[in-house]
Amino acid sequence: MTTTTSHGSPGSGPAVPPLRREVIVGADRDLAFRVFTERIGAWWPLAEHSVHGADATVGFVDPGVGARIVEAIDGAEDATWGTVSRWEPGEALAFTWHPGHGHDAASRVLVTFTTVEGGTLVRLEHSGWEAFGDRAPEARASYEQGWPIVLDAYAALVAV
Amino acid sequence: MSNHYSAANARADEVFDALGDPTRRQIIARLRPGPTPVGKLADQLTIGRPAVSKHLRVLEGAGLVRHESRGTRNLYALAPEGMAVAQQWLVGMWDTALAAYADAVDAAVEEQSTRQVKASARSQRPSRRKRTGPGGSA
Repeated sequence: MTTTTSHGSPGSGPAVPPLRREVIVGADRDLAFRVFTERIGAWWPLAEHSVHGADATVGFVDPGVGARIVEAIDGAEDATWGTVSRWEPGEALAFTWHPGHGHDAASRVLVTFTTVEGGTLVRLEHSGWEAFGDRAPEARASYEQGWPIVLDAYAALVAV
Repeated sequence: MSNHYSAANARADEVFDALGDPTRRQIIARLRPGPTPVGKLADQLTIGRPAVSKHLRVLEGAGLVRHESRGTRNLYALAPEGMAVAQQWLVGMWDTALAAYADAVDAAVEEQSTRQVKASARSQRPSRRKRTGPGGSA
């Protein structure tokens, strides 16, 4: 049996597509959007995924384009996770994503809301880090520059 | 839901353990520009060189950095394989988050319908004050 798994085979490079996840929720698009934005503090798994841990809070500050996703906790500086670039209630939401880091290390998240039978299909696409994978064939170096953006994000997300 | 435990997750755990330390995260950040000698890292981090080496060994054990010797110099660099672990981890993060989000939507829907039921119950019933009043207000 031959094994074809290899990292960055010359010429093709490792294809790292944008990450896509989706979920169907049992509400109309407007409510689905509202829960996503207004109640992120209630549903985001802060214990596992935050800068400051379970006792922190998170929310969209100044809802609309330009809103910031801010994690706050007493006794520490606020952590900005990202900034909203699209705010279309019931339709779409896009934001940069750089928890625990400056916006220069940002990737992008797009969330769309589509009516389906039984509720709303919520699609999430996390991109902006895969491009480095695409460039890998030309320059392994650029690939190496790429993953730390993600790494930074998840390093920052690990509750210390 | 997030318990798809597998070798990959064990590997991810190793990565997170390695990254649980702020100094090691600083090292990762310092390595972003490219391969760096241990001495330079030690200078930038104001911790002793032996401490830097120790942290680097942990990071290397988790597959996050690798090292190469050039002459007498020991250079450390970020390991591209970290990408795969990172991607898997991100999938896990969004799946956990979206599952919790779907639950929150369900809760919001329930709240809304409870409110509606209460509202309609209120409108069908005279106010309590009148009913509990001492009657005959003539």
